[in-house]
Amino acid sequence: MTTTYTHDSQPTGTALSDIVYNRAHLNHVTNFKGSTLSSEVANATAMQTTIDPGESGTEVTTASVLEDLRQLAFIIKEMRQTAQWYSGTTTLSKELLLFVHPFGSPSADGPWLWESTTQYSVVSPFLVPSDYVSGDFTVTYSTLGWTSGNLRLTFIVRKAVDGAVVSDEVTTTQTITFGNPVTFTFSADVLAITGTQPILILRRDSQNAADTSTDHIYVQDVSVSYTGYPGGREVY
Amino acid sequence: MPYVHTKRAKGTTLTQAIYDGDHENHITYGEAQYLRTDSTSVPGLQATLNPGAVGSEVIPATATEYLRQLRYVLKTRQASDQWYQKTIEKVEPLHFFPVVRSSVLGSHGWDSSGTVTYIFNWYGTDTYAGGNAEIRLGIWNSTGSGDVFYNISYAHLSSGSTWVTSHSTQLITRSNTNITTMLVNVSSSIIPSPGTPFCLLIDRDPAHASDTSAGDEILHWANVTYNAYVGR
Repeated sequence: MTTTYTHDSQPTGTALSDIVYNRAHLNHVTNFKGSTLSSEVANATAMQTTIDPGESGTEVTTASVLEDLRQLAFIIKEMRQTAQWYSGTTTLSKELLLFVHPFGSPSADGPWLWESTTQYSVVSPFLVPSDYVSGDFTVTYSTLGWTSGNLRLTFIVRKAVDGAVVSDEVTTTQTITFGNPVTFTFSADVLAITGTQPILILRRDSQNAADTSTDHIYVQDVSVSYTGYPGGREVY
Repeated sequence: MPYVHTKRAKGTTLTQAIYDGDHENHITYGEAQYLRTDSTSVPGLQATLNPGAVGSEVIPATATEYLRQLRYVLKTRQASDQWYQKTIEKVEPLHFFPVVRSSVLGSHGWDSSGTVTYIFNWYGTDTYAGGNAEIRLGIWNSTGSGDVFYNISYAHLSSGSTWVTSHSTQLITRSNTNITTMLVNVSSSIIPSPGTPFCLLIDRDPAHASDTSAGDEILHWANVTYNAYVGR
């Protein structure tokens, strides 16, 4: 490695005194440490350079500390599956569990999640993902059985702690024109109470005049997208 | 033997042996094992440095900065307080299956007269790192009120493929609100070895005197909190 410290050059004819001699050698001893020795990473290209350490039985041994560091960078990049070992945030998406209830008329078609004449809900427990960094959450629902008309949907973020209710919540009501998917957005601010157990509720208000669809609707799946830290970070 | 320079006294004759020896000394100690670290203290060991993002890289000037950038990425990847942290408190939702045990499908799935068992499966025990766990059961209903009484059982397969169960009861007390959660402590003694399915079975007991809730829509969910290995 090159160093970030310098040698005190002596001009021709300088008498090599004990002071000059000892100082020159002590300079090396004093500065031989990680915080002084150069990383040899001069630019982004050098920073992105990694070395594959191989696998068990086919190891690629290293010749320098720099190569050791670059092998560690390679493994980090491999674990994260990112373009660079230090790649920053990106948009992430994950599926949420969808908790439903066996409601409905015992018809041949089975229980409906959202009948066209009554008001039912689906619930998803929501935990802030450990790879979340910042910004809003966008929740996307996909539905089945919707062939025409509009849906009157209410999206609710509600929180509770053991034995008590936290009043902060957001409620968004939209009339959704026929189509998929259906999306809602909410801010992380509403989740910022320690110990709360947020849930996401989606309710069809079939009795509202704006709900013009006569279809029975199934909620197929729900997912959330957000700005997060990519690459295999521990996620709930 | 520490890396030091042998100071030469004034008037010393600079022989070939002294001159070469003093320079060889630097080469001898120029190995990584002698390179002094900035991690001799706990704060130094914990120190990290944000490498930035693609297009806005923070170029490390020294080997220490490079090392600290690698630590930073490890630490942020595993969402831990320290880059070398082995375990972390993890919260994850439990997978859920309703089991309808009577002919109530068609009125309400779980009302004051019906009987439905809910099974929550914990598949994540391969990351379980020991200790007690907590399960939070949440209930929500849109219109009703009153308290709800539950029978709670745990079950898992032992090594001899025998179901191991334990049992308790718990009351969820609701005021006039429509959402609440209930904390269920799970002893480490009944948490199975990694990879073994672990079930939480919940029966509502509508016949119990403490169960005062009228039939209404009740939705359930559950989260488990436990000590988990990071990065798995």
